[in-house]
Amino acid sequence: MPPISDYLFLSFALLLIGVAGVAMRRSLIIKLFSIALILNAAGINLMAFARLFADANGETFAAFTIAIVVAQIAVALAIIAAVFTRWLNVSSAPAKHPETGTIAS
Amino acid sequence: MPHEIIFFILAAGSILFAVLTISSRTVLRSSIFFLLTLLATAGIYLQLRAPLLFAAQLVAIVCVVAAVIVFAVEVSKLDLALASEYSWRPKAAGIIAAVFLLIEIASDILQRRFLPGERLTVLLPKAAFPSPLAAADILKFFATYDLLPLALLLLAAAVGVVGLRATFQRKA
Repeated sequence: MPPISDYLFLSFALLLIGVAGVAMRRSLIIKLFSIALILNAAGINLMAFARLFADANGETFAAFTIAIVVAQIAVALAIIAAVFTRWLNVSSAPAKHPETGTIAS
Repeated sequence: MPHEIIFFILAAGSILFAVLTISSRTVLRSSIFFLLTLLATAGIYLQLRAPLLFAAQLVAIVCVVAAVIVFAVEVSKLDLALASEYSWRPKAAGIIAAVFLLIEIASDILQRRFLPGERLTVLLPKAAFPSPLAAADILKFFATYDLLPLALLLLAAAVGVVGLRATFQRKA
C-alpha cells in the first residue's frame, strides 16, 4: 500500500484545485463542482486515516461526505436553475436584470 | 508495487480531471470531467478496501448527479450563459497542484532507490502514533510521517490563492 503521505498529497492537490475553482471562476455551477472536489478531498483524507488507525469512524464520516455532496449538488442546482430563470445569468458577478435594469447582489 | 502503480494512475487521473473540471469552457464538459474525477476517487476508495464507499460513490454520485446535471444543463440551457467566461488562472493552479504531486512521486521513487529501509504503510498499529494533542507531539507526528513538506506546500498554496484572488479582484 502507498504511504499515508501520498494520500495526503492527493487530497491536498484536490483541495487546492477546489479552492482555486471557488476563488477564480465566476460560474456558480463550476463553484459548486469545486466545493464537491473539496468534499472529495476530505473524504479521501478520512478514508486514508480510517485505514491508518483501523477505525471505522473515518469510513462512516466519508460516507456522510458522499451524502452531503449528493444533497448539495441537487439542492444547489435547483437554486441555480431558479436564479437562471430569473436573471438569465449564472455568474456570481453583479448583473443587471434584463427587464428592470436593477443590479442583482 | 502494483498497489502503488494503481494508486498513482488513479491519483493522476483524479487530478487531471479535476483541473479540466474547473478550466472547461462549457458546463456540460465540466460536468463530464467532474464525473470522471468522482469515478477516479471511487477507484481510490476501492483500493483502500472500502467497497461500501465505492458503491455509494458509484451509485449515488454517478447516477443521481449525472441525472441532475443532465436535467439542469439540458433543460435550462445554462451553457448559453457561460460561453464567454473563461480564465487561465484555474488551469495554472491545477498544473501547480499536479506538479506538486509529481514531485512527491519522484521523491518517493528516489527515496526507495537511494534510501532503502522500512517504508511507512497505511496499515500501522495505533500505538505507533504519538498523540496529536500536544504541540511537541504534533511536530513529532509531522517529522515521523514526512509531512513537513506538505505543511509548507499548504501554507504556500494558501498564500498563493489569496494573492491570485487579490490580483483577480484588482483587474476585475
